[in-house]
Amino acid sequence: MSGPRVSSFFLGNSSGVNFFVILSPGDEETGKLQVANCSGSKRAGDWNLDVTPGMNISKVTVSLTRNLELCLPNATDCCPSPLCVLETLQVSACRGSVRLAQLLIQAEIFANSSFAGNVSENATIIPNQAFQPLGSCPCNLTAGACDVRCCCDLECTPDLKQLFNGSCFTGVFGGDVNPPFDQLCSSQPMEYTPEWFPFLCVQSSLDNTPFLGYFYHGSTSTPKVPAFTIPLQTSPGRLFTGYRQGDPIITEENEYFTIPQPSLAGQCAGNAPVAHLQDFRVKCLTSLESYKEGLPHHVRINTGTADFIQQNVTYRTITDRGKFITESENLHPAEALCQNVTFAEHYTFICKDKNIEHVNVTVFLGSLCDGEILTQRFTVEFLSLKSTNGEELLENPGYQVGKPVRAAKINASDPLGTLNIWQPAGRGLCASATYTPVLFGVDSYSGCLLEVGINEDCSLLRGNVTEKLNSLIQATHIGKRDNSSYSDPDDWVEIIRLDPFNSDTNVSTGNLKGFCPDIPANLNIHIMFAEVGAVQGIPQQQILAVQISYSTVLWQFQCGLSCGSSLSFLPITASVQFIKVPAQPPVRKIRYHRIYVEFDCSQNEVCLQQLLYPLTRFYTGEPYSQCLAKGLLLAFLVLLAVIMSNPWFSKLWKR
Amino acid sequence: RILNSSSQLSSLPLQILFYVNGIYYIFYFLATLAMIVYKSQVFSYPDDFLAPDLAVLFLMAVLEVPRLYFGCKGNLREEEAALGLSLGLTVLSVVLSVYLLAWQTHVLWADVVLAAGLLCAYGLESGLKVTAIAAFIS
Repeated sequence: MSGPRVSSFFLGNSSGVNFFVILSPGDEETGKLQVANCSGSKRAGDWNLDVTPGMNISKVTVSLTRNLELCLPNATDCCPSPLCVLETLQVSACRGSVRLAQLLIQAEIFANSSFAGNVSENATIIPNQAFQPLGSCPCNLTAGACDVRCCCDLECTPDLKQLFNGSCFTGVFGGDVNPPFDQLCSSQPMEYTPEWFPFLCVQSSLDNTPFLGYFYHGSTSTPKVPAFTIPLQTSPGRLFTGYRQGDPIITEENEYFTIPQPSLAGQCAGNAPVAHLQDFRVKCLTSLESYKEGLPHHVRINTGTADFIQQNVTYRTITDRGKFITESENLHPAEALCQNVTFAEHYTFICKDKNIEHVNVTVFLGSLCDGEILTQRFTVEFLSLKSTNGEELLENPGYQVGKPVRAAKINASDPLGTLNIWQPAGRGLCASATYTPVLFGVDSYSGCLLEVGINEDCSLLRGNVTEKLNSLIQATHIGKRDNSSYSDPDDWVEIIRLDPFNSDTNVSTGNLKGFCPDIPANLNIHIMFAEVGAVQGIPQQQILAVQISYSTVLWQFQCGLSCGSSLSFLPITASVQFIKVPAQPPVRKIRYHRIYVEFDCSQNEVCLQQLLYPLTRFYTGEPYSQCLAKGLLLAFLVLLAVIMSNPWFSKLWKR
Repeated sequence: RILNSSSQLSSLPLQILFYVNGIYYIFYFLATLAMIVYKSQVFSYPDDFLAPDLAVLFLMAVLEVPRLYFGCKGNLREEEAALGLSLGLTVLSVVLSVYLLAWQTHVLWADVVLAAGLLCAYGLESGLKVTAIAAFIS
């Protein structure tokens, strides 16, 4: 309970019950209270006891009747100290001389504190924020009292200031809102004062330092919040005019037709679209946990003319799981969880002109168990209705990146030629290496290892190596375009061969075994191509020239721990490089263009437009208004000089 | 009238001082303008403080021309009215010069030196004008 009044309840019949209140001082030493007897009155000291009788409950109220104001020690009827009352009361309820109940009250009452100071009507003057942004004395934090170490505080008496005089706050916080700056004449000379310092130092008073200034009153502008959202490419839309080469195949719901393909990261992306007339065969690794079903086979495909066709799906089961499954270490053959999944899918799109006529799908299913890694295979083939032997539709007669380079043996019985590079297998030996055709636009470098014994004859070795490398090039001419025909000799460029230095002359190496210089082991194929025009907006690329050259190496038998009759390896490499040349020789720049480049502001440091600033607003190094002011001042002075030099004016002056 | 020093009342030192003052004032005007430009580049002028300084400078320049003209005319023609007008304009110029000396936003040491020189010249001029007017009147 708080305040000078407290109440409680007496339960029970209160008829004939007397209530008394006494002040019990309590023993100072032991702290024990004297037990109250049933005597006393309803008043004790400053305390009053009031009883409100009721039926079975009576309310008992004890209240303090004295002034609780704080006042001077010698005055009466008020509190001399903040702790006004510290007393112990005992309220007893007696019937006759039998004590029925007792209530112990310990009172600790403080004096009423009211504001007893003068409220002044004067508002504190806030100094001009521009010149004294923190007020005249920023360390004067408490009003009416002295702040320690604040030497500018006016409430500090001089003897108090003397106590902390040595350690006042310095700088702006200590009230030094105008520290002397370097340009002031009376400031201590720094290490570097400019030579003109005695003349151009600031003489004005410290109240007006140049480092104080008004706040910027410029205009504000709300910045346009840049939209960081990238407009998402939603569904492809349109497509009623047929498929061009490279266009994505679209389904009935205007979504991409997807087949899992490897992405740039190496993993297979399940929702990769399929491009028209671009075949592929891919392998994707998956396991039972990460298996995701592809696009359902009942989805209809847009033929290109807003017509939709159903996929013709054939289901087969895989019998030979060995080609697809690699088992991982954790094998639980007994209670393995197996699921029927797609092992391979073969898609054949049969096209006619720009439309797709049929889609034939062969799906190979098999069961995949937990712990096994499955290599899924997906192949897509585009066939043209016109040709029966599966030749591809060539909309673009020029070479496409990734298509094999056409080669031919003109003036031979069988004109079909090949241009290959190595595709090593197994241990990388040339004996077991196969060939892979050179693909247009794909720079490649491959090779294989040739086993050479220590007793190998050098010229024999050279012949062997040359023969092996020549077997890569089974052609005399390379086709300029992808649709070069064998009957037209203009469609082919002759391969320029730079044969290796044939050592007809017997370079005697003596009887040095295991050492052969000048082995032409590196084959370099340089193919120059150019972009010649465009067909239907697709740029056409043609091969202009092909050169084949050989680089020689020095072969030395590499001994192991002992130079026994073991074999050493000689790496034979073949590299293909595609060089783009301009189709036409570049136009010679005429002198006008060469000179004009000098005035190009983006390429040069100084340009004519910048020199003519402020007439042209090209230069952004100086504020335009300042430059204009200076220019106008200069013009004014020139005008003044012209006027002054007028003879009429000098006559006026002499008058 | 024979112009000899006894009957000639025009004051030669005053005339010399007018010439010197004219030349010195041109120099003072250009120098103060250059220093105001320098101060506006090196120190920061609050928005409204550059305009009064420049206005005072140009006002002084504008007042200087009639002041010197009337002074010369009054001195040579021995007219006290013109010379009196010139004296009034000199007082105004003194006030403006004191502003540039003491109440400018930023006062450089060179400002003080130049304005002090100008004030000396004005003071001397005023003294000579007063004696000349006294000579003309009597």
